[in-house]
Amino acid sequence: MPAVAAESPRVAPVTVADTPRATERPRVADCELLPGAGPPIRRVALTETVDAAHAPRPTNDSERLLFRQLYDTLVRVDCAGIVRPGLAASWRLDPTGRTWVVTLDERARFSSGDVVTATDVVSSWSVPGGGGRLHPEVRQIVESAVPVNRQVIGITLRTSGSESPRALADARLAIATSGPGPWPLGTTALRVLDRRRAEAAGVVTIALGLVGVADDTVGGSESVVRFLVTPGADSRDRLDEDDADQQIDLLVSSDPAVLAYADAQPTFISVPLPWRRTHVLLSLARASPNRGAPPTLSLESRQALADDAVRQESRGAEGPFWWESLGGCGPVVATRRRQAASPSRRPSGRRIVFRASDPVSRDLVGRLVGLTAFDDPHATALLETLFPAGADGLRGAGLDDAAFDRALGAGGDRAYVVRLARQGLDPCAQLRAFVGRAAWVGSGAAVRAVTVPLVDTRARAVVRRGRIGLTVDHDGMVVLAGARGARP
Amino acid sequence: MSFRTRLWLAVAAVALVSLAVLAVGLRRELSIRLSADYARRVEATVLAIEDDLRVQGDAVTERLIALGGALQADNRFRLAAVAGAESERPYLLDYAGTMIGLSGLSVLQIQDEAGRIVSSGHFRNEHGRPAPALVDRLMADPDAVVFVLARTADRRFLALTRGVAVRFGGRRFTLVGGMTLDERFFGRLARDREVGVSLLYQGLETVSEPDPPAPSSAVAGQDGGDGAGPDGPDDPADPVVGRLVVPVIGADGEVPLVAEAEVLVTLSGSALQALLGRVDSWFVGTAVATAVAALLMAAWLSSRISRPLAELADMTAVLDLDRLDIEFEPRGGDEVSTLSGVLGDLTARLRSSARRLREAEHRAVVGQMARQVTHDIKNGLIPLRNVFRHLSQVEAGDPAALATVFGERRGTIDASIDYLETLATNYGRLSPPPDLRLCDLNAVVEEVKRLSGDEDVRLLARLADDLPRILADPVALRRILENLVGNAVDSLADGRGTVTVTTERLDGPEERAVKLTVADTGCGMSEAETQNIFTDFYSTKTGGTGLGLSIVRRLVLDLQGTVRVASQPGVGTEVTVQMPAGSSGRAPTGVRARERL
Repeated sequence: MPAVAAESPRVAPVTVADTPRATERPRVADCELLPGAGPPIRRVALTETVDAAHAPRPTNDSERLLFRQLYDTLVRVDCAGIVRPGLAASWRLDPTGRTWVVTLDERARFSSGDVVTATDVVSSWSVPGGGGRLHPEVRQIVESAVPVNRQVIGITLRTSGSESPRALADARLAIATSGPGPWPLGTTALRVLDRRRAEAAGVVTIALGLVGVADDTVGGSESVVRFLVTPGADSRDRLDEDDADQQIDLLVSSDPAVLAYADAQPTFISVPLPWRRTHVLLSLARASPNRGAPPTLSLESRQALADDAVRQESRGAEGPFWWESLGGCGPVVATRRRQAASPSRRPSGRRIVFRASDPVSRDLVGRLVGLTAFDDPHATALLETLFPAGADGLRGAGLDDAAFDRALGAGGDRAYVVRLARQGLDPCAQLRAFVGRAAWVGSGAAVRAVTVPLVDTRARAVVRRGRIGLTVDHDGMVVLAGARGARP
Repeated sequence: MSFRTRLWLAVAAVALVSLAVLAVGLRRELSIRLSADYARRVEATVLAIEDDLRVQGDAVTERLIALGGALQADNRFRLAAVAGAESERPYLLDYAGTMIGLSGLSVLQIQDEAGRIVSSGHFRNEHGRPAPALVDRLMADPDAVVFVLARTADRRFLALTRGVAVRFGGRRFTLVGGMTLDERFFGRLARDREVGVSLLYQGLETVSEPDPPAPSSAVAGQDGGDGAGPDGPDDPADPVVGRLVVPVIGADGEVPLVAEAEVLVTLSGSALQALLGRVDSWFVGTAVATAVAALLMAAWLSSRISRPLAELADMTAVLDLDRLDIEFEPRGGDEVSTLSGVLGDLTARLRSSARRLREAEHRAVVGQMARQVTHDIKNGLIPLRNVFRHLSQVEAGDPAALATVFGERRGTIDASIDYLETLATNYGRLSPPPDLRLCDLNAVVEEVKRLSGDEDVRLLARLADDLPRILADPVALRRILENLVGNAVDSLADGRGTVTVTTERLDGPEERAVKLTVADTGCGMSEAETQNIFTDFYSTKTGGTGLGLSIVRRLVLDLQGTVRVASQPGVGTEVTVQMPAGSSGRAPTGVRARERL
């Protein structure tokens, strides 16, 4: 248990004043997507299955959107990358320089009205009945968390040396506690009211109400936000909805057909969200102990891929990328103790493997394979950059999630097209997660060598014209204005 | 091997050989005819497939023509492809992908007049690739049936492909479209559940359902209309194969390493094999039934034939001259009955013959007995006659000595009378049992010598002193001596000569024996006479009974002895009798002991 930072007589207390001062913070309005006046967003369409049992750690984009409205983190990072208070009021490093002493905001409450304590925070991060063992996803970021007192927590991150505990803004560290119903109690200004199922329309409605507003006033209250879940449905149907109670105000999508249709609808506008993901090509053959850093694609080449291959909204991948700042991460040990592949080993397969459920990966792989038949110097140069071992006979292989993970872990294929978060709160944690999936990558230096950024992609927020109240976080996730309203 | 087994084998062989010939012939005929029929079906299917491919290709052409019309009317495509509007470029790139589903095609790409792919439906991201040779080849013969080795990012496949040219905006575009040659495609071509259609090309085998077996023998098939039709398989299990060869073009229009694909039409021989199997089953079943029937028939026939024959054989085996009471009763009118009747007649004749034989034997025996009696009586009377002749001579010559001579010769008379009485007694009992006792042969010789009394005959007796006794009937011994001595005396010419009787003791390794030799200096016998000397009724003497030596032989044999004759014409004859000695050893001299064995 790390000691509370006590002032040592020999060493002057060092308080890393990471809590940004108000004058240093950019205006919140910079992260607002829909400035102006107008009615707030009240109905949001979700196109993937939402499971309360996953809360507060999302497993897909729909859960990520919904959970963001309910579960807050100790700190937040806004769209400009500025660390802002969340449930925590302040934080500082202890004299060891490894443990963050985080003080909770005394106004932090669960949606039940109970005060959020340090113990609640640690419990939220722990495995239920696990004897204090941290959740595996939490352990990617946090090494230990100990309540100092009711409002103070000593948190040791796995990655040290950061000037701020920005890693605590990771959605996997959202705070929740068990409630009377299936939904864990959150810490934002919204809470789950009920879950009415509209069988006829196949729409599951999750209603969120303001904390402090009685349930019996839900009925036509403007303070309620409804999330209409229609897994697998065509999102364009949501845009065409005639029923006033079913008409949506917000839909987040990267589907080009949906976005094109929304653009053609006068009642909707589509607002681009931050470039959130980067598709990269991983090729072990690019790592060679006898060579320096292998060449990568030019921005023009990447842009050409984005223009020619990807049907979603995309651009040539632009840095900086998190894997380019791994200097302070130290050695990484694969959790499964897979032996890292020797850089001198050349995979013998001829496949470029991708996740079949990812259309961008499919497009990229299709283009790369198509280029192998081009008798063109540009195409040849591109292929030589990407495939130093040769591009003859390459073919694509789209695998389901489990098979893809196995193939990626084995590292026996010629290359892999993988979707990564473009930016990260904790590059070292991302590296650890990456190596955990593909131990053959090895060290951080090898990651840079084997990884070739291709394209960035982003989603768009399709919003009913005139609606307001939408901000965006560091990871491109939107937050409804009511979620971060003033706490009662 | 029994008659029944032979009969069964014969019937079974006849029936089974016929059946086998029938089955083999039937099987062969079926195989030939059905194989020919299968070959015709395959040939017809190959022709039909060739037509189908052409029809399918024409359907592709029609769809491409329709697409071409839509293309010409599409402003956005024109903006992108002709005007080069960058804003419409995504639309252009996705155009073929959108149309491919609507048109029902599985291959669709649009190429500009330079042959560059401007939009690809099956491989969206290979746009920009130049493939002018493909357009040239397809457009060289727009109606030809040709397969294109198309590809996507993850696989290669063959497609029945056509090309259609369309012009707009002063530019020529070519629509290249086709149908993937997959299981559904060939399933439609197959049309017959028993027919399998497969495509062979390097590793892109595609078969229809049901999965046909791999052909085990190459069969010439249609080749663009030429070539011989398919032949039947050598083995009924082999499928009948027809083959259609189709040229293949690469996705770039190049001639690939393997420039031809084969559409194989196979008709499984399993139905024929199943039919032949059923024929075999029927054959086996019939053969088994025939064998069983043959067995039953053999059993029935044998019961009708073998048993009566066996019974006849058993009855015949019992037949004997002493057993002629067997009655053969013919039953039924068959050959066995006839044989039984014949055997019955034979038996009756045998009975009759046996009766006559017995009568003849009886008469013969009686005759023989009569002769024996006569002979024996004569033997007994001869001493009497001799005595009376002597007495007559004495009475005539010296009557005073008659009483003396009578007294001297009285013993001879008494002995002869006793002999005759014994003979009479014996004959009265017919075959009395021998009175075996230890006898002194020397004494019998002396007696016979004494009773013979012929002064003209010199009768010498050389008797062994240590002659052991022999176990014999004394009457039989005396008869032996009397017959031998009598024959010897009779053989002397003019009644003059010497008869020598010798007894001798023989000590052998296992037993003692007595040897009696009667030798004379008579006329002797030839070899032929010697051979027959023991034959009944054979005599060298005129008026002889011919029974003497046969009686001697029989009596000697009864005594477990042997008798041999050696004779030389003009020299004489020597008869040697050897008899085993009795167990009690030598008899006291002059004492006749009576011992019973």
